[in-house]
Amino acid sequence: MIETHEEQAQKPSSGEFEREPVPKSVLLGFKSFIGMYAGEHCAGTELMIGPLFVAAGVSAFDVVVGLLVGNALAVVSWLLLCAPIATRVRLTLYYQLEKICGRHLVTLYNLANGVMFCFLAGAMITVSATVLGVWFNFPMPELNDLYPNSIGWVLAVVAVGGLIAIVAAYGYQVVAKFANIAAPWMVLVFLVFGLIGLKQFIDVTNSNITSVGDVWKLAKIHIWKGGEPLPGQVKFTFWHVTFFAWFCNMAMHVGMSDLSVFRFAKKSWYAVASGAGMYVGHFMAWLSASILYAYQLHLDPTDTNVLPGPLAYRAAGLTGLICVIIAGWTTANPTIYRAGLAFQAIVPKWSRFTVTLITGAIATIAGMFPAIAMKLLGFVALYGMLLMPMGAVVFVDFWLIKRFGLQSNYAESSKKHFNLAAGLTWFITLGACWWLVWTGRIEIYFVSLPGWFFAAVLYIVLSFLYQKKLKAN
Amino acid sequence: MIKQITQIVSWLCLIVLVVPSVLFLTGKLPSLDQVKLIMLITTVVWFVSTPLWMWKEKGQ
Repeated sequence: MIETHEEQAQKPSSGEFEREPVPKSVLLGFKSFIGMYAGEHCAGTELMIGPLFVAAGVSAFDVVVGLLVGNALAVVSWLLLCAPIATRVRLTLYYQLEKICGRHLVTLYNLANGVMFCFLAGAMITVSATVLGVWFNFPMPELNDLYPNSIGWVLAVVAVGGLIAIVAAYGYQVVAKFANIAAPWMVLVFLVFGLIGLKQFIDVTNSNITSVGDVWKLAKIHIWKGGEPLPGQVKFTFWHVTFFAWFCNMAMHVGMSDLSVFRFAKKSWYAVASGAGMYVGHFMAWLSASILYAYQLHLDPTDTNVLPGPLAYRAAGLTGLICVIIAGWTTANPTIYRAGLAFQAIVPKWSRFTVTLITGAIATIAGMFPAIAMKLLGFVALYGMLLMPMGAVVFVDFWLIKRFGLQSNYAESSKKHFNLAAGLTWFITLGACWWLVWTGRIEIYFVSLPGWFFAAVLYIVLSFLYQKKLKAN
Repeated sequence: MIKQITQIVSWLCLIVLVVPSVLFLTGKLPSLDQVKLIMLITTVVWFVSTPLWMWKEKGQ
């Protein structure tokens, strides 16, 4: 899901290219990006999102067509917004932002990003910890639980989270290599989840399947039935699914985090490779996981718990459990590492080891609270919304600002540490979006679309006032 | 030579991982337990054979 390909592409920059354009000699081919995106978007959290769609009462048409359209829009966002800038300036997002916003504002951005990464890693730890519940049979969180509900659960999260944090601190690179090895296997296990789940539905409903039309009928009547969501869940329509699929990686494409990835691409059209991740992870994997949960509900409508461990075990036995552990572990590992990198930019004197351990501890504590995983749809939308305004700032600064007679990369040229126009754009946009959501005028899943245009216009207006004022001074 | 053999084993693993579930879906393999067992064996073979060539390749 919200994933880790940035980390892979950042590896070559760990000692180089962090504050300079990537040279032509190290540019990567198209295939590199296909593998990177396909593997990275099959994460442990996919096993939460698919079931949560079912809990949200999606219908078959809404989920299938919504995902097709929403994922296409996500690919287009990478292709038209992020990659063209990345392949022209070939800088990391952080350095690009520093030139525009100044070091102090980038520090704030890092803090926000790091905190969100911690929560995200917490959700991944939650997913992996559900595996232990299969073996040790302790009470696990329910769909509407916000707080840890048993000592067994807390101990399971501490064990899994602690292990992930220690490994991330000691041997991030080893786990990253292991993740590469596991990726093709994991993608196919996700596919197997769907195939087995489908067969179980056919058997339990005594359906006679002789054509694709019969499968669609089964899907409409028994799997994604539509109707009311489960208690405590928001009803998902076609538009919810479309916007969720589009914006769940908003921080990466519209928010421009993947400038750090595509600065290594020879051509900007390589961004179509993101489609591999979208249609493998955010289509096939989500649908597969949702079939498993729909089957659980079909067998016992009162069993509404979204627990990836038991779901995977019922479908694929031990292989399913291994898949859940690896999916959670290999994606939590770089997420914790990335959060650590973001925090280390704030406290550079602390060692990478210490920062990663502390970050892992925060993520582990977050993982104890099932609220993040069980409300993952809303959390992911919030994550995108939080970083979206800075993506608009980067876009406007690169393409538009000079057309208004204004200076691009203003912090760099004026030697300011805090570009007030960019900072205010971020805060005011977030405030406006939050107000719209809080007052019920628009749902969080949709607010980032008008929010982006608002931020873009606001940045131009504020830059006009700010740059004029400074020039006058 | 060893690298090529382990690569072939890895690719075969990916095929064998999926085929039983396809046969299960079409009703040609009736037992889910059999599918699970084959998948588990395939998983073990994958994680033994693949690092032998991919670990080194990725490390270079």
